[in-house]
Amino acid sequence: MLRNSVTIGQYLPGNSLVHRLDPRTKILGVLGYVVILFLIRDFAGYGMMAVITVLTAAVARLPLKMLVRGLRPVLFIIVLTVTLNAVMTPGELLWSVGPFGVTREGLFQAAIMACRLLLLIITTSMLTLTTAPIDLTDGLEYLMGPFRRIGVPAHELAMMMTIALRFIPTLLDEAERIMKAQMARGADFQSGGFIQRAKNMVPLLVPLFVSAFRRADDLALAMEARCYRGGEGRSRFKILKLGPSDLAAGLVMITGFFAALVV
Amino acid sequence: MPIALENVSYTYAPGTPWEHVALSEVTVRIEDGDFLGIVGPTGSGKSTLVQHMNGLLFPSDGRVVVDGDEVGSDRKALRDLRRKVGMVFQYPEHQLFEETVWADIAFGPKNLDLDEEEIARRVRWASESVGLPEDILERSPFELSGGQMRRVAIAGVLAMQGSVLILDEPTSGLDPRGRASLVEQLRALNQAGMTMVMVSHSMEDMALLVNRIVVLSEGRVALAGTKREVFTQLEALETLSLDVPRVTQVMLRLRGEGVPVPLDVMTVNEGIDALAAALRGEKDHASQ
Repeated sequence: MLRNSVTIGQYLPGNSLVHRLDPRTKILGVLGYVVILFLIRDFAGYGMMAVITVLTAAVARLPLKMLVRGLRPVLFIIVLTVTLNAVMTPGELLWSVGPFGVTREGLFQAAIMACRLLLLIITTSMLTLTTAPIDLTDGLEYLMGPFRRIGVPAHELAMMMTIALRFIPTLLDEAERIMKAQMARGADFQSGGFIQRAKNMVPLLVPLFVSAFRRADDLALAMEARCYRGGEGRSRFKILKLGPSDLAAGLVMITGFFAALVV
Repeated sequence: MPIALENVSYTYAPGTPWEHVALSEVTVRIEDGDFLGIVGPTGSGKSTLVQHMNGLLFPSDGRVVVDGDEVGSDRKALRDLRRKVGMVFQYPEHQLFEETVWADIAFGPKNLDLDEEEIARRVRWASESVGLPEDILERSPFELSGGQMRRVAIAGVLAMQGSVLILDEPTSGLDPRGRASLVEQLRALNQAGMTMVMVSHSMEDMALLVNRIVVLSEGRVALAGTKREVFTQLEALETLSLDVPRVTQVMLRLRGEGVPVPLDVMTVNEGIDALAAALRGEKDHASQ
């Protein structure tokens, strides 16, 4: 199925310590992780960060295969970044092919970028793998709350994300169904040049857009029928509460980040 | 062009936490001119099963043989297969995309690289077969009623002029009149020699159309046989929480009240005959 080839943003239900953490702890943790990732520039630091990632994955009981599979769609970007960095950085020339030369500084830069990207993608995908989409957007709404004063529509943004996440699998299924239906009428989505292939997508894209708009209309109607009118005065079914495990997780993370910075 | 599924099993997303066995060891054979019905509770694998018949899914285990050839991934053979075995998905009106009804029905034939004249002939034939009025052909499919959109979509598949037509829930969501006329048109197509396979929840449609039925339950064949053989196995159907046609239910109740009627009655006309015969018999009995 189409939806199984898209792992980014997927949630893997579970009941581990990491799954049960408050979404805010996890979001802030990942945010901190990303910042540190861009602050450090030595391999010992990245080693420390990798240890944090591997430990978290172990505690969350995430199968390694899942994490590696999540890398597949971004593999191209990683390879491209590494190559460009290796070739484009000026410095001491190691070897060269035609106008392209690989420099010592370039190799170092490329290795740094590779470490950053790999850790970045694996760790951020761990956030969505261990957090239900609803919890994730709830957490984001809380965290964006203080910015409401300066005009950030926190609730609306969170609601938009919730809806978008909710409809990704639905639309993927729908796309697959329409694709099959058109294939049964002799449509060809695989062969031909770029322009031909783009043209061949019309029988898929038009029905997909029509159905997306229909779904949006239905959803808006259903929400209004239940008196939805935005975030003002809206009560919550689930109230987020920080617990002792959040405190512990926070301490562990801060220690880890600090260690990564100093080594 | 007989279609044979031999011990077909199919697993969705193998090797992931979402692994799900949709079919296990299903064997079904469809002869030329057959009208096969496939019934079963939601999630029993009906739609997965029919998608094997024109190479949209390939069995994880077992094989599908169409016209003596095993269905494989060879692209040219697949194109040929999909042209011979037409497939109408659930809610096919959601696949319409062209600017006019005509263009949408012509989409399939155009992919077959036919000349304009043949395409025009096929579009006419297909739209007549599903009872679309001539003046609709130049309109946009998006301004039609749901029932008419359904017909346009079915015509789009018919225009491929395959020898087998597979329909997944073709009558669901139609009003009673639309349903009755579609049932009539499907029957006519079958009588004209087209092999048909229909997935449906409607036992009434089954009773009116099909000659053989396969009942699926949790990905396995639970019952199979002629429509009469299947609809008289009441206990088995009940454990699968499936109904029998309403007329058959009436006969069952009459039996319970002591009226000697047969149980293998599927349609209203048969029911009338059976009841008349039973009443006549009773009268004869009384007058003796």
